[in-house]
Parts: sequence; structure tokens; C-alpha cells
Amino acid sequence: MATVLVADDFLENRDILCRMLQLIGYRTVSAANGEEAIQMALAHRPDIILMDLSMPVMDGWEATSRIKALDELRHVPVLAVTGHVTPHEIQRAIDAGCVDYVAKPIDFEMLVGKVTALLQNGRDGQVS
Amino acid sequence: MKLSIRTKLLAALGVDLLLMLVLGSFALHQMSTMNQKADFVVNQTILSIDLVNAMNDIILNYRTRQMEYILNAAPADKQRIEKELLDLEQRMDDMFWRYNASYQPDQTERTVFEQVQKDWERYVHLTHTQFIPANRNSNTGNVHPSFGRLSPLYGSLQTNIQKVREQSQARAEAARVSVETAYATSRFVIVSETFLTLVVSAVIGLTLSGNIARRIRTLRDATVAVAQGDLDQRVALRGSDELVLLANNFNLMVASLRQQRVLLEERNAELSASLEAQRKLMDDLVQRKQAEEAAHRAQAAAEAASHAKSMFLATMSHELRTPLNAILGYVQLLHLEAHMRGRSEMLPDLERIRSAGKHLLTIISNILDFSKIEQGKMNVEINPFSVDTVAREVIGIIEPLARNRKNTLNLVCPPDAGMMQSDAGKVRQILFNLLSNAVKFTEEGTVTLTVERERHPDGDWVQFSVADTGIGIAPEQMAHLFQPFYQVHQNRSRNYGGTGLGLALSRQLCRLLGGDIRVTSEVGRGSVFTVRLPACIDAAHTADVRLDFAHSAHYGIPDEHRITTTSSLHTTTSISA
Repeated sequence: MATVLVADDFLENRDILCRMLQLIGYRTVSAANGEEAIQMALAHRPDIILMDLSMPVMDGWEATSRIKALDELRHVPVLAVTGHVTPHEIQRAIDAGCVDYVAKPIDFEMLVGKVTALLQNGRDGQVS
Repeated sequence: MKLSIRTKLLAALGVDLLLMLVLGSFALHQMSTMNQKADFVVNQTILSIDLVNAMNDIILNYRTRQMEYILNAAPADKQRIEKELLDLEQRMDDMFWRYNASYQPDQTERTVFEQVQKDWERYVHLTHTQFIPANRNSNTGNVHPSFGRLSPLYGSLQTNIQKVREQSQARAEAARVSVETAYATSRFVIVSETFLTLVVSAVIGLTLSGNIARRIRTLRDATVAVAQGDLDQRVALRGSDELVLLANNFNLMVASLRQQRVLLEERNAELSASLEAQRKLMDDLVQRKQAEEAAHRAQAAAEAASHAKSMFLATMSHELRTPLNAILGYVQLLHLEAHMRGRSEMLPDLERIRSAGKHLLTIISNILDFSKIEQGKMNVEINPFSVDTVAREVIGIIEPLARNRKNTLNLVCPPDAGMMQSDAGKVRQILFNLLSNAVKFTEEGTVTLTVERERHPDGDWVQFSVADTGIGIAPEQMAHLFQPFYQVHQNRSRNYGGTGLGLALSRQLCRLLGGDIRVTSEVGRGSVFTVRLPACIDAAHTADVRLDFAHSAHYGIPDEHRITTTSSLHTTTSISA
């Protein structure tokens, strides 16, 4: 059973995502900011991370680049989740190490499709 | 007085000179008269008196010698005395001659003198004829009667000589008196004439100078008045001298000044009017400038307000979307749970919540899009897509709505509609807006989407027409049709829903894609919205479009429709400024 780390500062968003993923059979852990996300990732070693970009304490870009700097987490694919879909922000997310992004409001089917595809691609986690 | 001042002065001088001349000649005349009188006294009277005195002495001597002749008995004495008598007679003749030669006595004196002469001649004659013969030989010492006979004659001589002397003295006295009188007269005349000259000179001088001074004063007063600006001065001097000429010239000068002042005042008035006009012009300019500035400020304020509004809308949209997304998320979750747990009776209600939520999200997205375009933050993502596919997708989305309002929905799309190289999401959004409007304002009618491809050597165009048989739009409302938040059917907006942003947003999107939108409509018969878009746009083309788009600094953000189709970062071409 794959583990998904959901990082979002909004409790409702975290709750919905986690419960959706649980319904279809994933194990989930959640974090309310970037710092927490890194700690949770180190603690639970998730197979994939859904990272909200705008968060207090430490934002998603910062957290992603830190994760990508850690040997033990470098291989975990990070999927950006954002309400502000601008080319600039997306570019920043890719520069930080995100593999793809999902826009809010989240289309659950699409999210599941992307998560599934990323997990299937294994530890390389690259999408063509 | 019709003479010049110079003439007058010369005349006054002339009068003075004339008076002096008269005085001088009179004085000269008097002097010569007096001189003559004095000469007369010296040459005549004094001489005559001397002669008369001498004659008197001779007569007295003669008488005395006669007495001696009587008293001296010696013949020698007698002879000597006779000789002395002859000598005296000689002297007497000499006196007479001198008297007659040098003296012009008056008639009375002459008569008396001639009597003296006659008496003397008779006396001498009697002496020689009677006295001497009678006494020559007498030595008695007795007085001969012949001597006695001479006595009356002697007395007469004495008397007459006295008379002559008196006459001479009288004449001398008369001459003296005459000289004295002449002197007195001269003195009087000279004094009085001097006085008269003085008076006349003074009168003439005072009159002339007073007259001149008075008139000069008049002129001076006038010049002072003129100098103080009183140009109504007029100097009225009578006569024709230089001062009158001066006064006349002065009057002419003042008249000229007056005229010039009138001209000057006119010119001044003109100038003032011109200045006033200029000032007004200036004021107008300033006012216009101020108005322009005010307009600029107002425009800036309006732009700022518009910007603020857009910012507000963007922020609000975002803030609204966050909880709405949560709602939609939980609905999705519930839907999934109900489905998985076999609670299918809940599914229709959950579907309605989801649908309403989606609608709300669309509205909010439209607002957000519109404010993004207004702020110039809308991006255009260019991808190749099939016109037919996009048209069918939109028709598919609209179909349930059309059915709800009992409308027939048609799609006319020729097989050669082909591909477009543009922003498919935005094309879809435009068509969706137009079709949903058409369906909204049409009931039990027909809504037709017609796609046409116009082929041009320098690039094809694709035309989408959305025709309905709905309520139509009045001509006066056409102008406002594409304005944000304008709703044609205000009173029916409650029935039809919508934000009033759909058409405005559609037009903005059309322009963003290099095309435009137009509308024809007839109230009660329906409307036709026609969108013309270039089949192929590129970054350069949209950049050109952007120039027409005042607020565009950035383009585009994918909306939720596009997000469902564009799934990968790597297939997205985005343009950002």
C-alpha cells in the first residue's frame, strides 16, 4: 500500500484529499506547512508527495527544494497543488523539483490518474 | 491792441524818446533865450548904463569947468579951461557915437536920449556963443548972467540923463526878470515834463508789462492745468501779438493733445479689450487645461478605481473559490462514498449540489478572468486543435441546458473546418458563453452554432455564428451589450441568471485571440452573435493584439475548462510578458 503525503495549510483541503485517497486505497499522512512536510516525509517515507505551494512557515517551493536536497527523499516525486496557476509559479515549482502540477479546484479523477501514473513509473517518477 | 509786443515796447520807447526830445529842445530853447537875455544885459544894458554914467560925469565936469572959468581970472587958466571944455565936448561926442553905435534902445529911451543930445548941443552952443565970450575978459569973479541962462538947460540935461539911466536900468531889470521868468518856466516845464515822462513811461511800462504778465500768467496757469492732465483748457487772449500767437498755438497744441488723448484712450480701450480677450482666452486655455488635467485625473482615478475593482474582484474571487472548492471537494467525497457504500438515493441531491457549485465556480471564474484581462494578467496558450471537436464539446456541454428550456440545438460545421492554432480553452469559453446566453434567452426556439472557414492568402479565418430565435435585443441596448456587468434584461436577470460579464469577457477573449465579435438582433425575432478569429495565431500575433489591449501586461491563466484538457506542463505553450 502506497503512502501519500498531503501538505496543505487548509484543513478542509487536507481532509478531502486524504479521505479521497484513503477511499481508493492509499495510506495518507498530512502536513500543514513545508517544514512539517519535510519532518513527516522523513518520518513516514511516503511514495509520493502532494505539495501545496502557498503555505505559511515554509512554502511549497522551499520545502520541495529541501526535499530534493536530501538523499533519503530525493527520489520521492513531488506533485504541486496550487490555486495560483501562473506560468511563473509553475516554472518556479518545476525549478524547485516538482514533477507536475494539479490546479485547484482539484479534479479528483485527474489527480488519481496522475498519482497512479507517477507511482507506476517507480522511483524515477518522470512523466513524458 | 493789434500790435506785437516788440512794436509796443518800441512804441513805448519811442514815446519816451519823443518826450525826452521835446524836453531837451525846450530846455535848449529856454537856455538860448536866457543866454540872449544875459548877453543883452551884459552887452547892452551894462554898457548903456556905463555910457550914461560917463555922460553924466562929463556933464558935471563941464559945469564944474564953467564954474572954474568964471572963478579964475587969469587968462592962462581961462585958456586951459577952454581947452578942457573942448576936450570934454570931444569926449561927449565920442560917448554919443559909442552909444549910438553899440546900443539899440527902445523908442522911449531913444526919444529921451535924442533930447539929451539936442540939449547938450544947445548947451555947448550957448556956452561957446554966449558964456565964453561973456566971461573971457571978466575977472571980477562975478557970475555972468549967461551962466544963469544955461542952468535950465543943464537941469533938463540932468533930468533926461537920469531918465535914460532909469530906462537902461529898467531894461536891465526887465531882462533880469525875463531871465528869471525863463528860468522858472524852464524849471517848471523840465520838472513837469520829466514827471510827465516818468508817469507816461510808468503807465506804458506798467500797462504793457502788466498786460504781458497777466497773459503770461493765464498761459502759465493753462500749461500747469494741462500738465496736470486737464486738456479742456482753452486760453482766450485778445489781440494779435506774440502772446496771442503763443496762446493760439497753445490752444492748437492742447486740441491736438486732446485729440491724441482721445485716440490714445480709444487705443487704450482697444488694447484693454484685446487684453481682456487675451485674458479670457488665457482663462479659457487655463480652464481647458484644468479641465484636461481634471479629465486626466478623473481618467487616472477611474483607471485606478477600475484596477482596484479588478484587484478586489480577483481577491474576492479567490477568497470565494477557496471555500467553494472545499464544498465541491466534500460533495465529490460524499458522492464517491455514497457510490462505494451503495447509498445511491443520495446521488441525485449530491449531483445537484455539485452542479450548482460548478455554476457558481464558473461565475466566479468569469469574474476572475475578466479582472485578469482588465489587469492584463491573462495568458494565451497556443495549441493546435480541431475546430469541429471544440464545437462539438461545447454543444455537448450546452445540450442539457438547451433541453431544459425546450430549445432545439443545431451545429452546422462543414467537414473542411479544419484545425486552428490558437487557445482552445478560450475559444471554448467564448462559444460556451455565447451558447449559454442564446439558450438562456430563448424558449421553445432554435439555437444554431454555425462554423465557417474563410480562406485568405495571408491566413484563414474561422467564423462562429450563434443564432437564436429568442427575445432579441433593442437597438439602444446594443451599444452597452459588451460592457462589463451590463445586463440587457435587467428585470429578467433574476430569471436568466448570469453575472453580466459573459459578453464583455467573450469580446475581451476574442480580441485577445486576434479577432472580434459583433451582433445583429431584432427584438422578438432573435439575435446573431458572430465571432471571427484568425485560424492561426502565434506569439508575435498575440503580441500585436496585446498592443491593442491597453491593460495587457500579461496574458492568460488556464481556466478550469482548459485544465481538464491540458494536463501536462510540457505540452503547454504559454506566453508571458
